[in-house]
Amino acid sequence: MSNINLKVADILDKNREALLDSWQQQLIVNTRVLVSEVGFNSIKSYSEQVLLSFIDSLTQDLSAEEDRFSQTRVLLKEFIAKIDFNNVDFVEVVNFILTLKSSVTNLLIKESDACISESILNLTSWFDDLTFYIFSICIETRESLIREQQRAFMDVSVPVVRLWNQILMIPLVGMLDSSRTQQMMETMLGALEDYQSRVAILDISGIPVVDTLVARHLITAASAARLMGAECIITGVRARISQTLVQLGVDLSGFITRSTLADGFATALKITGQQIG
Amino acid sequence: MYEEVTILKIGDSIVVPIQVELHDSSAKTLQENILQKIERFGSQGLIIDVSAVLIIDSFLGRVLIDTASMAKLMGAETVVVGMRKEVVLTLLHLGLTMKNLHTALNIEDGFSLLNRLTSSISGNLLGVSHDKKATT
Repeated sequence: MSNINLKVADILDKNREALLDSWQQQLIVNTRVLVSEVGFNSIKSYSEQVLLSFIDSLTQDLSAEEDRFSQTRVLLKEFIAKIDFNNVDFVEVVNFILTLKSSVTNLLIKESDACISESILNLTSWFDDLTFYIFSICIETRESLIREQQRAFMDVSVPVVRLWNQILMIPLVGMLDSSRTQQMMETMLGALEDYQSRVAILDISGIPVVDTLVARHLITAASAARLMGAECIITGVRARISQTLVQLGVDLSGFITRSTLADGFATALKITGQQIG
Repeated sequence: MYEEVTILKIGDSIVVPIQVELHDSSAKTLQENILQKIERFGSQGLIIDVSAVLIIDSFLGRVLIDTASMAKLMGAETVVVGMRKEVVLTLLHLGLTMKNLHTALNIEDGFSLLNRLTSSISGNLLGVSHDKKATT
């Protein structure tokens, strides 16, 4: 087993220049966007390092459990960290290692003798392993980006405005999903507690479409305010929204609803027994 | 062991500030004590202050709703005041929206709500009797 590996390493090492050349040729053809994104010189140096570490790891005598390619993995991770995934497709990044695979396989077939066919089997599994590794890093990178954006979005998405003495207003903008509703409710309840406000106005002018799910979230939020002992007014119910709500059979009769924020504010003033000016 | 919960009579109303954690059995005992006090004083209003209660589970929530309905049968309006936001969130998770329960932010608001509730009832009654007179 390790004899074969040593033999492969030997062949690869002997033909290193040619191998590198063929790999880089393929990289230019198959991963054009990636090359232009990272820069040809950078890709050249990385491909050289990856190949060296790959050959080097073949010469090591390891037990089955040990990770043969730890050094290669580090290099790959470093390389992927440089990539801006807004411009580059996953497929091209994965192709970075797959083109090396085809170069190495071609070379081995050319140099082939009896035991080499077995080593090609090994090669396949190694490269599959490395390919999966690249895939997982790519996905992880992108997911962490998405999580970060979600968090940033969450932070700005639920402001609670103190409109007047004892009157709070929560402008709802964009889509209202369960996690945002939860966040919004917590902020709203906290504010109600802190300011001891008697009225909370939920303004849905910024919500483009109200479906049953959004309606249910609205009802939950309004019930929460009511449980605290505050009155909840839903404003910004446009003609289209009122039509859909009735057609969907959503019952908002327990809550005060108004078409404009101004009307809602006037109602809130009346409820709290206040006047402006 | 039932820890005594104070039940205060203030004017026409009864105020129950719950300061201890209530278990299932003690909640039932409290319910009975409240109803007995309403019977004895003929109270028209009941204010339950839960601002010191950290956990309201489905049972206690149910007991609160039931107590309100029972008090209503005896002619007293119930207002639950000072619910904490954590409590509110758990109740909503349990699916208890407590639609039929009157709530207020604090005792003060609770009293003014109670005044409005009781005066609107007597107002209605007057209105009805007035109508009857007019038709006969």
